[in-house]
Amino acid sequence: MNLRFLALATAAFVLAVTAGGCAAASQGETPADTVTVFAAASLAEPFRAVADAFETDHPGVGVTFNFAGSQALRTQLEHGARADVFASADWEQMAAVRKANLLGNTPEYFATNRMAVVAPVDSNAVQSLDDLARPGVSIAIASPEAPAGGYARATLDLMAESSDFPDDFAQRVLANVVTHETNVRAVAQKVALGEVDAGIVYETDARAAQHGDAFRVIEIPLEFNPAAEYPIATLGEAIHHQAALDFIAFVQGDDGQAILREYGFAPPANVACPCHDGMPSGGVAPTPPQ
Amino acid sequence: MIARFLLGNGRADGGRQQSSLGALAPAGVAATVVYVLFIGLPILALLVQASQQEGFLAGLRGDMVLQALRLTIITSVVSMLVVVVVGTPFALLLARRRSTALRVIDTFVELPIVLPPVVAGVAMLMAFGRNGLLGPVLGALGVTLPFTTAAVIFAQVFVAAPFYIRAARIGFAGVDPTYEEVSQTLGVSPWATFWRLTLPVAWPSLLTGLTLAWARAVSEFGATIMFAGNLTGRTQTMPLAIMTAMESSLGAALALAVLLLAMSALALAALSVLLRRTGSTA
Repeated sequence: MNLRFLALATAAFVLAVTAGGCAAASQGETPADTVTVFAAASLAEPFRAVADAFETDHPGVGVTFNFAGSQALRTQLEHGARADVFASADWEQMAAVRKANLLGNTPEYFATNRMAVVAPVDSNAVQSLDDLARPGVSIAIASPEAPAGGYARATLDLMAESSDFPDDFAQRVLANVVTHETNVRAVAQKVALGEVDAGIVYETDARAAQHGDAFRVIEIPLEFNPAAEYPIATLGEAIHHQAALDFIAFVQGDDGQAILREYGFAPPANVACPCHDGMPSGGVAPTPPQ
Repeated sequence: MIARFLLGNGRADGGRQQSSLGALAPAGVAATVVYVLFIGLPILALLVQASQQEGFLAGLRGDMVLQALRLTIITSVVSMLVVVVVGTPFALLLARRRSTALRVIDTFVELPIVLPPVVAGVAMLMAFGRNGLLGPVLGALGVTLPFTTAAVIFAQVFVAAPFYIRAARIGFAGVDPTYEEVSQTLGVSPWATFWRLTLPVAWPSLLTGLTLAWARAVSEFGATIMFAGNLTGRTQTMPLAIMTAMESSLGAALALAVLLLAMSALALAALSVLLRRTGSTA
């Protein structure tokens, strides 16, 4: 590769970036009715389906998404990202955004999820929950900052506390963890590729159609598997406040809930979110006050 | 005044006459100011914010930061050893021999530079992963690569080696082969000729290439998170730790960022000092 090629490549690159930047900038000014939704990675497929239905229902209103680990979305919002709606996979990230005075209304729960262990179909290393603690097993989980990582650790702690598992169960499982992925989808991907013996993901990921038959699912009994509750809220700087509220109402309404159920989410036990600004411990959203 | 400060009264070619840029000089000055601000401001902002950030000092001494620093230094040094040991003879061959095969190889040597690192990561998973092309072979040997420190080194070598090889090839090409022939007809062995003639002449290029390659290895992110995962102390290098820390503790993220910035600046400074020294003795 010679200098002229490099120069040309650089010029092309700069042009591309500039063009992309202009496109992004003009998009930022928006067709007056596009709702920008920052949503937890685990919501990717159901929310796309919800958005399709919403757009049919509300002609002239569009929905664009930014899917990532809720904690990554929170960081982006804290650093000035503009969005209209935030849907988090746990209360902690929503609370942080609220604490930063970025919310436009009171968050409400709209769905619940549970955790499950997945293993590649072509690996026999993990057949039961006990196998997770066996030396030499490789496990992927989400980083502690990510909601799925918090829930996974809480689940392991509950198992360790019960008489069904050894006291050091959680430590032994965590010692087998070979990677802390930044969101739950990356965990599912590493398992689907067969690169690890097991991963702890949401039930919705375990059953997700896009993974076909790549997974064996090992269920976690309900007693160790507290509900992962998903809150949603508008953002204070929402440019399209009404459309944002419409979208949330649609998610919480019959049509939205039916789609979420299709993708394996359960309805919230209670829509009211806890009104505290943090979490006691463990990463499990506490049950809302009765 | 800025113009006078920038242009001084020398020319880059060492001539002592006033700049011959003429009408282009104002445009050059304006562009320089804009560019220096564009690069300088974010770096300055990083330092200012870091110095004011609560938890910055604690972050510097934090376990995550120290482990990431240690891992980054160890892996990048091992990567550079691999790059030098393999890259040097390879670059010498590329510089000295011409064949169709070598010409094709030469064209593709720099592919990793233009390839998005995350693609490199996926490609390495497809090759060296448990279900990759070589997976069964590696498995039979009892070797697991993904999510190990070795995978971090693989990723670094993959993306960084071309920077060294390219520079080394240019350096070796700049050594007149007739000198090497003369040296050998005088009875000096090929090895001794390489050590005493070729290497010293090509040295500045090798050093520049090695510095660039090291900097690239230290900053490697995409291929690493894909192929090596993200585990503190084992595969979480500084860029991965910054990414993770951004989502929990800005103090730790800034501490890592400043450290990485200092390492890069130090490498550049060391390179310029070394080059000046070899330049004066050559």
